Amino acid sequence: MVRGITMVLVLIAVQFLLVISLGITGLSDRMLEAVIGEELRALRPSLAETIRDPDELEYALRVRREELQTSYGLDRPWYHRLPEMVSRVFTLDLGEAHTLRSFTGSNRVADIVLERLPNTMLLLTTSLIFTAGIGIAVGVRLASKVGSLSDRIVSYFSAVSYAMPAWWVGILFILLFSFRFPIFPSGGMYGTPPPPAGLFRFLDLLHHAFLPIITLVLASAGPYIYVVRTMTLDVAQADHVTVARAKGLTEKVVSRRHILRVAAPPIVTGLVLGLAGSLGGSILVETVFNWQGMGRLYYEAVVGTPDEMVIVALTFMFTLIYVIARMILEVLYVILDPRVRYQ
Amino acid sequence: MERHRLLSELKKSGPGKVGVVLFALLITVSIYVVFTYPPDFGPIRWSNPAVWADNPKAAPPAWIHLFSDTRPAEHQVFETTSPVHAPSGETHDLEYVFQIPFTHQADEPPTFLSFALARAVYHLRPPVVTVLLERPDGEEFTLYREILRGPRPGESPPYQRHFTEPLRVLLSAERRAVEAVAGFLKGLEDPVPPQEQWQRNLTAALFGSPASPEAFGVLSGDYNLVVRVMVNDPADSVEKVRAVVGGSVFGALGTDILGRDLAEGLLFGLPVALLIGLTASLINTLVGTSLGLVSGYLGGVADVIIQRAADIVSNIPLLPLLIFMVFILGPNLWIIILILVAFSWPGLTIMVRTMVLQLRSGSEVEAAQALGASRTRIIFRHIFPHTAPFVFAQLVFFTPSAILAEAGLSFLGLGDPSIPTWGQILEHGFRTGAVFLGYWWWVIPPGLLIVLTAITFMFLALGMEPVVNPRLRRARSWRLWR
Amino acid sequence: MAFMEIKDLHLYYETTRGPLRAVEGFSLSFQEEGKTLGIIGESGSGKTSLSLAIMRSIPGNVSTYQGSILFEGRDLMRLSAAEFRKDIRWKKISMVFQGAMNSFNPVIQVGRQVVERLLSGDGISPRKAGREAESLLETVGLSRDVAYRYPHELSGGMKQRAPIAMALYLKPRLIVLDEPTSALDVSIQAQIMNLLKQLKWNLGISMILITHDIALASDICDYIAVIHGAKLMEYGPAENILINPQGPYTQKLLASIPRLHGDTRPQFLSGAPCDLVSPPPGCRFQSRCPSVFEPCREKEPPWLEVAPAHWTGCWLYAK
Repeated sequence: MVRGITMVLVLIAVQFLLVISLGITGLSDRMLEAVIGEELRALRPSLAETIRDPDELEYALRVRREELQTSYGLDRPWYHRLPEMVSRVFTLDLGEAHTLRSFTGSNRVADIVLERLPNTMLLLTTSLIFTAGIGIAVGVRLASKVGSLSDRIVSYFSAVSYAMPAWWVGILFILLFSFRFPIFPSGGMYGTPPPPAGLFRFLDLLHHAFLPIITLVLASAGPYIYVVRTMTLDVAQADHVTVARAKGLTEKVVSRRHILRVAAPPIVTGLVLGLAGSLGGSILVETVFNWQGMGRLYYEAVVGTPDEMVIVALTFMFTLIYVIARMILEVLYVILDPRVRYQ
Repeated sequence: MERHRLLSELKKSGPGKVGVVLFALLITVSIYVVFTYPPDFGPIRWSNPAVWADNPKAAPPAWIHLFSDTRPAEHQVFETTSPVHAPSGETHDLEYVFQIPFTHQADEPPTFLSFALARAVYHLRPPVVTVLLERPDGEEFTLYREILRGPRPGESPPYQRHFTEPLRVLLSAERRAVEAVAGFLKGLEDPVPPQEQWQRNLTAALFGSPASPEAFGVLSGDYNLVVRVMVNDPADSVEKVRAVVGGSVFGALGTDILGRDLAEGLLFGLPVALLIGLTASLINTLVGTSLGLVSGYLGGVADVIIQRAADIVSNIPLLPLLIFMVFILGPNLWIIILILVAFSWPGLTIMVRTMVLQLRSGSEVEAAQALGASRTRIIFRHIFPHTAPFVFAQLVFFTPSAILAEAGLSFLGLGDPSIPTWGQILEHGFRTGAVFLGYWWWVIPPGLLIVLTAITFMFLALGMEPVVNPRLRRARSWRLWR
Repeated sequence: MAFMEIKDLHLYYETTRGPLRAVEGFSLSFQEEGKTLGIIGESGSGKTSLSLAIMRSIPGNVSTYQGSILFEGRDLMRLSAAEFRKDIRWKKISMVFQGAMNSFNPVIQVGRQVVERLLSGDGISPRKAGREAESLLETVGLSRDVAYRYPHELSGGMKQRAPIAMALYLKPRLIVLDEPTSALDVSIQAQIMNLLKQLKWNLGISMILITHDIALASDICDYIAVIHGAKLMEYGPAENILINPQGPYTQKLLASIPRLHGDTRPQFLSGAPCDLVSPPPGCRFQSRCPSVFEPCREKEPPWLEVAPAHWTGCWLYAK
């Protein structure tokens, strides 16, 4: 399937982009130097046990450094190291972060990034499911009531919510529901200290997740409702619908089989198109709500002491998530629309 | 031909009219800003602490008093260059006395009290500066007494002090003022609030009397700030004395935590936002349309390459890559715009290409080809005009995307620091905790402005929909991130 | 009793300029069963609206829909939607729509759509329904496996036949066909016409054939009704209409057909059909009629029987 190949190409292209950028700006050199530095630091105590003379110790370390530099390829320009860099990015073998630490205390980039993955996925998938559900339910309803008051109100709401940055809405929510009316926590994933594991822990998580999810859903569902409505309307005007009605089918059957079922592929497409937006939105919403996911990590890596490798890893991970999500939706589309099968 | 129809259609429709009005409003205000603000407003004013030193920090807007019963403390700034008393020449009359009378009528004390002194000259020994506050109830507090800096080795008279930087003293946090207040309170009979409560910001005590062991009541009335400069030589001088009674409110939109007038900053953000949005959109449209025209009309290898590239790029998630590239290449406004375009052009390219493919097999192009028109001519005279309305609509529609993208980047701390934008103001507020401290005036207006600007363009685009939509069913325009 | 009697059928659409009078006082008596009635007219004369009006498949923006259609002893217009759906719709009267290519739902197999109503209500097993679909498709000259294909996999001609199969499956007494062969190439046109003729002769189905192609109508129709400007201009047995047209419009229409032999040149009608939102008073053909005279512009012409079972609405024949 061509789409699958394209997706893989996307992933590779992004990796190359990342790696080339790193190379050009000299960051990849620095990173490798840092890795070497770590190794030497770890080596020093064990060497010091056997070599007593300080000068000799330094000399030995220097030799070792040069050996490492050669083995890592630092003696050659950065573009010679492209394939290895790409595979490094792919496996998240990116050394250690400067200041950021994982929850368990490790400072390996891979650990830091991967342990936050589930948190981000929780937010993303939940909000996506709600967005799709609300968007389809309301959008379809509206399509059957075109021009009515509720249709116009919701259309304007969709237009407005498209213009509102999700993260700003999140800030408003914090102002309103954390500061003004302290109903919800203003951030974090759990309270401090977190309740003991089990039901209470889970409820605490839900309590903390409520505002971020609502923010994301509000921002994405608004425009999506409009998209669904428009797609459904489009289909509802089609000839085959008139024919179906003329055939004497009940309105329920007509709307289910001849309108919705036919509108399903473009509705899925609508979801795909909004996916990038949701991804970006989740990064910012995590930041606003201090939700310990990969998005928040971006913020911490940028605003604190800049942690380039973490950012590289995050960019790669987000691209990966995006590619996988799109592939899933593409498969869904092919299932729904026989016209694109077996090209 | 279609262009005029587009514009007339725009003016007819409901949202179109609103959009045009809003757009005109935005442009007018922007022009005003461009003409009245200094071009490097960012570094010269916004990031310059000296400009905002006298403002109250994190103060709500002045008009909130309309909604509450408490009268807020007014922000008052005074400056005088004429002392009420100058050294007369006699031996013991060597004092400059500046008086700054003011009235405090409010239900809350001022947020701070400060004074500044500029351009002092002395010949023998440095002058002694004393500052007192006279209260309406007759009490008098000595808030400050210090000697200006003495001569440095190698310096020769006349000695100049505080010519480039005025001497700024925050009286309401001064050690001596704390002592004065403590002394005053000790002399009272009733129980008074403890020192830890008031010692960090003395204004409650300076401008009030203890109403209970927990709080001070406000003392409204006429106050007088007296600055005495005792000199040794009648030729010594002090040019300017300034006093600031910090208000609890300030300005049309309040201040941020550095005392910056938010109205000023937000207003500046308007032309910046429009510039970012329109520039990015323009470049994006240019690139996307050109590639679409080339790809659609010339076909062949160029088409394949462009199509593949568009396919790949359009499948890249925008924000993560945007973050990475700006992080690597530096937060410069032009870099931000160019990277935005670099990841957004495929949408337009694909759309234009589809249209070109249709037009290419049409009779108009066929006729032109039969007449021997060159390829360039065909593209510009026979193909592009038909795509123009849709391209224009996309131009309008992409503008808010660019504005929102920049705002988001700024919020993450990747904005161009030399040019304040709404996103940066929000970032600053968020970083310093304005959200959690309830500084709504800092956090709500920038967002509202962003929304307003975005909505303007959306209404414009909605107004153009009747002309553009029938053929533009599945516009890629939903590919916006928020 | 006539097979179907239409009396004073009106159909107006709502537009921003006012109601568009697509069908204006249409009255006609379709006498015998098993015959084909052809309805001829230019584009924009209201033919399709007429077909929709008969089928009660009117779109949402209709402002006026009234009249009576007597069929099987009942006035179809008086039936509730539910009754019409249960008794008449597709069971007694079915339709092949214009642009039959798009009659089908693109994501469902053809066969399922052909026998769709069977599947949903009457508890037939899917396998039996499948066989039913297959045989129906065979009847219209398609191979049996078409039932399991999707609409986009069919060629143009196949896409034209399948809706006919779909219209047949409940064995209706009357099928309305709206332009069943336009946008098809001539060879497929001929095939479809042959199919229709077979249905007519073998199954005895009555048909109302709506077309702008007079040659087509002449091929299969027993009666012909001529419409112009949403009004019926002439009606009678096909032979009479074609060979001896009485109304000026019909005459002009027939004169516009090129002849293969002889050197009569085809004549054309100048001007355009009148505006259906605000039609002029009097005859709808007045602006283009060569024999127009006073009464044409003032009052609508009377409907007169100018020959046995041959009617015309024209002032020329009023005495």
